[in-house]
Amino acid sequence: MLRPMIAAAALTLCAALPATAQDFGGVRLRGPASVLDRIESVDRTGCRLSQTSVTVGVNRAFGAGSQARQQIGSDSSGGCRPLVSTQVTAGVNLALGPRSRAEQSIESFAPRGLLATTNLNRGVNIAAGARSAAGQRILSQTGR
Amino acid sequence: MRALLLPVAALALATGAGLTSPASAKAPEMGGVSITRGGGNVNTAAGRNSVADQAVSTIGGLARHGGRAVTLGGGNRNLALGKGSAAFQDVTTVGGTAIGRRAQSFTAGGHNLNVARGAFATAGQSVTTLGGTAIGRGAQSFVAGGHNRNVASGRFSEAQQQVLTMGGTAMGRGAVDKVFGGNNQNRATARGAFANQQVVTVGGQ
Repeated sequence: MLRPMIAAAALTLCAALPATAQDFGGVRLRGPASVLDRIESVDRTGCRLSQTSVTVGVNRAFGAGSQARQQIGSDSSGGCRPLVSTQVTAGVNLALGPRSRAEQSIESFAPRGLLATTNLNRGVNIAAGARSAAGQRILSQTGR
Repeated sequence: MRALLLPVAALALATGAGLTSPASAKAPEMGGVSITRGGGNVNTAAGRNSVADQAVSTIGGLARHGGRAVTLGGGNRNLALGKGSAAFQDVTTVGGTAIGRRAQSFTAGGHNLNVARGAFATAGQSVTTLGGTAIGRGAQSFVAGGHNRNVASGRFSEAQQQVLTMGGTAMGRGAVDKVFGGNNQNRATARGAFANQQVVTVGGQ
């Protein structure tokens, strides 16, 4: 007899209490209207809601005594600030041949997002040949 | 029976207002997010008498409205594997600023590996991590620069590692500033090998 009563009490409680949820992330906003206002304001400026910039460089010196030099510059700011900005910068620099030489330089710049900014950079630099030399520089920046 | 029904009915009446209120979701509790990840780089000199040089700089980020700024500059590997090879790695990570109530700035520059495995090889690694600033009531600045390894395992090899972690600034009522720089390893395991490690962690501005 007791079990049905407990079940009935639990059901009553579930029905009585309002459903609540906890959100994480995003800018502290006063309500849904302000969220829409923020999105519309970005729309009015002609800027994208989300912007992703990917810069990848591969530099290889294969032959004996060969030289390979690579310089990459990337600027995706363009005067716009999107809601979400993501930037990925990656470089692979290989000096594989004997007495080979490989040099790589990568610079990239992306704007800061209104809601979120993600900046990821990664470099792999290998001098595998005998008496080979490999140099790599990677600079990744986001706007303040 | 009546003794059980009465409390249930009373409870339902007490929460009766909830029946009419619509389902609701609380407004977002946290602010903007800025993630700057400059670590995980690999620099290897594998050939005989080869040289590998790598420099990586990452600068970012700003999170406002009580948000979170995450800066990750660690997890780098510098390897001199070939006989007589030399590998040098320089990693600089600067970030992040978090502004607002309960803002958080997290900076990690540790978990780096520097190895001179080839005979007569030289490996040099310098990792500098500067961060983070958290401004606001209950703001938090957390900096971790430890868990680094420096190993000279080749005959007459040399491994040198310098790790500098500086941070952070936490300003505001109830602000918290934490810095960790420990648990580092320095080993010279082969005949004539030389391992040199310097770890400096500065925090609490």
